[in-house]
Amino acid sequence: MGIVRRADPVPPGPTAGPRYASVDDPSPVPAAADDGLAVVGTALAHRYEGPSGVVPVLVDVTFTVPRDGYAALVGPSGAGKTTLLSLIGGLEAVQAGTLEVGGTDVATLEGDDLAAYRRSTVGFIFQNFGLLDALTALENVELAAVLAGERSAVRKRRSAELLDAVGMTPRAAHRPGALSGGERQRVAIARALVNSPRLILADEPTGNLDADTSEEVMQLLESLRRDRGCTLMVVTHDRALAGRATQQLVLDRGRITSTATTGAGPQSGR
Amino acid sequence: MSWADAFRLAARSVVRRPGRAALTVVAVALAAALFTAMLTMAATAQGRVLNQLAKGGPLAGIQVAAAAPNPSQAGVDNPALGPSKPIDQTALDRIAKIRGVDVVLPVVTAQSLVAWPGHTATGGNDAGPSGSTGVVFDQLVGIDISDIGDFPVTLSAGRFPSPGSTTQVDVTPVLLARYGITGTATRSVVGSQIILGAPRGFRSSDGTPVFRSRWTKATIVGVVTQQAGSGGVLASLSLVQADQRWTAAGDPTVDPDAVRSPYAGLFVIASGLDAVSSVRAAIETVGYSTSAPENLIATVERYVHVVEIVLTGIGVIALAIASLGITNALLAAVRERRREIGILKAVGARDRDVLRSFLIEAGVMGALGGVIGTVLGLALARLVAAIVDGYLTSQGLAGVHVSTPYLLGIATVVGATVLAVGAGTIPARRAARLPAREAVEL
Repeated sequence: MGIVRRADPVPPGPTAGPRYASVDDPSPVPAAADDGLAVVGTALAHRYEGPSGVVPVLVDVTFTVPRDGYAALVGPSGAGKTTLLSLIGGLEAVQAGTLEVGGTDVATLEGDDLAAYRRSTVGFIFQNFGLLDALTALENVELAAVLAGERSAVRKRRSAELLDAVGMTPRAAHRPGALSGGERQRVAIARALVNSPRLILADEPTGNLDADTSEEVMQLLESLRRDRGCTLMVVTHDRALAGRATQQLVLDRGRITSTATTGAGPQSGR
Repeated sequence: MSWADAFRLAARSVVRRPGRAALTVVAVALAAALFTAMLTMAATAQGRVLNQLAKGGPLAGIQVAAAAPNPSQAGVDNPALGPSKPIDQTALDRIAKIRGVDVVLPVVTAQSLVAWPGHTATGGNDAGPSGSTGVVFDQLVGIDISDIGDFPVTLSAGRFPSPGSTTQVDVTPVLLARYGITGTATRSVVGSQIILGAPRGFRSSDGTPVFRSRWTKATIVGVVTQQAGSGGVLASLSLVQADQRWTAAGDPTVDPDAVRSPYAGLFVIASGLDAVSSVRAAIETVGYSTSAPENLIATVERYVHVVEIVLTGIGVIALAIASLGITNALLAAVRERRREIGILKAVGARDRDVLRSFLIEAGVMGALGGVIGTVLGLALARLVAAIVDGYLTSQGLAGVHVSTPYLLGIATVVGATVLAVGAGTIPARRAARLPAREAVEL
């Protein structure tokens, strides 16, 4: 086994904290049932200041997604699903309450530590794909590894392998503009996985896709989750898709109105 | 993210928006071109104009006359000479050892009759050889032609005589004017033949003073303006020394004015303009009169420096405007690329990664504009110089040529790059501070 070097500083956390990829091990992280990170939100509140005044987006949100969990965030538009996902992904600062990911208090992360968290702990998949138009599919996947300071040969090999895993090798040299919606989302999924994150956050990953393609993308996400042992949180409007998750968090007007775990039946929300 | 990766990312962004990038580069290029052209022309004015003032020779040149210094003329650029005092080899050696003296170049003169077959001089008298009429009296000025670059001599047509030639001469516009030849017509005399007569005075058997001349033919190979010595004909040392020896061998009671000093004068080049005053004083201590246009040059130099400052100022203003263009273009890019920046942040870019990428983008555009602008500016300066050169030579004057100021070119490219990076700082900082949520909001 080669020397294992951390690509980024390790955010503070308990012994079960984030695991970082080895730069000299280009292969995908081996599957392990307990590789995912638990996500625990307690009394989270968030609000935006708009032209018409303060708008509360999240109100006293408390939830737990266990390690290796698969949670769906569902609810009507404006319920606060994307904001909650953004808080977990470190895209938004926590305003009130606590949010722990793998034992790390996300609210305490800032600057380079926060960037490292986004880069290596979390893999974010956007509804609008979030690909850079100037880069090819392979370069888009490679980008996250570039930011992690990976050596060129390692990151290229790993990106190529991930593109292969999502069935996009023939389209590796194409720019996003030349790809279909489903293909773009596959590239986005590959990019989200390039730094071997232990938590995958998907914001309406099938929101811009037709039914067949949505099914393919969800199957891909679920199989990758199983193979790589990540925690997966998906925002969706689609109840059917939400039903595939082992846990559903239903949001309405900023509050969690119910949580349900497959086989356990709906539970009362707060 | 490494610098190389940041550079690649910035290059992709530039290439992705070719129109805007091209316009920004063109703005920088035009400003850099203006800056380079202005400074090149200013430098040409500084160097060439002052050279022209010194009649083509070095600015730090001092003329030493074969005359004692006149105490009342101390410090005057062109003093009235004191009593005659020959310059010999001993004096030349002493002057050469004065501190601040770079080179000492001898100047020899000889009295001469000038006859030009087919041409009649105004005020000329007597008939000359080969049927020429209107022979005029003038002086030959002899210098070592191989050192011509150190003398205050400017060629306006033809060429200089070959070093050591006894059959080639240059003539001055002053001499040609005596034959009614002026302006562009002076160029037509190149290739003509003149006859030079070295006079010798002696007494006949009955004691009557008589002059006889030794005539030699010479070809006019060029027209020069010169201040190496007083005379209308410039020739090699060997030609003039031969004539001088012939004349000096005559009877001094018949021709007391014949030049008998081995050197009619010296041209002393000081190590710099600053050393001219002290060298002049030291030469006068040795016992010779000196003259140098140092006061005039210093005054003109100040005026030229003012022109240089003004031209540089215009160039700097142009670059400043171009910098604002870069700032504007990058601010627009930041507005346009909020989502892209948000995505970069969302996938783990640090603030400094984004800052670096935008600064490199600005620097690339600045450097590219600087290189193109420098080339354009030098071409523009050369074009202007060619037009000025054409005008001056059409007037029978010495032309102006632009040298390639490599250092200025490098400085312009570096300056444009630094300015562009500076101009890109505000947009880059703004981009770096954009929150990662831009990725999901837009």
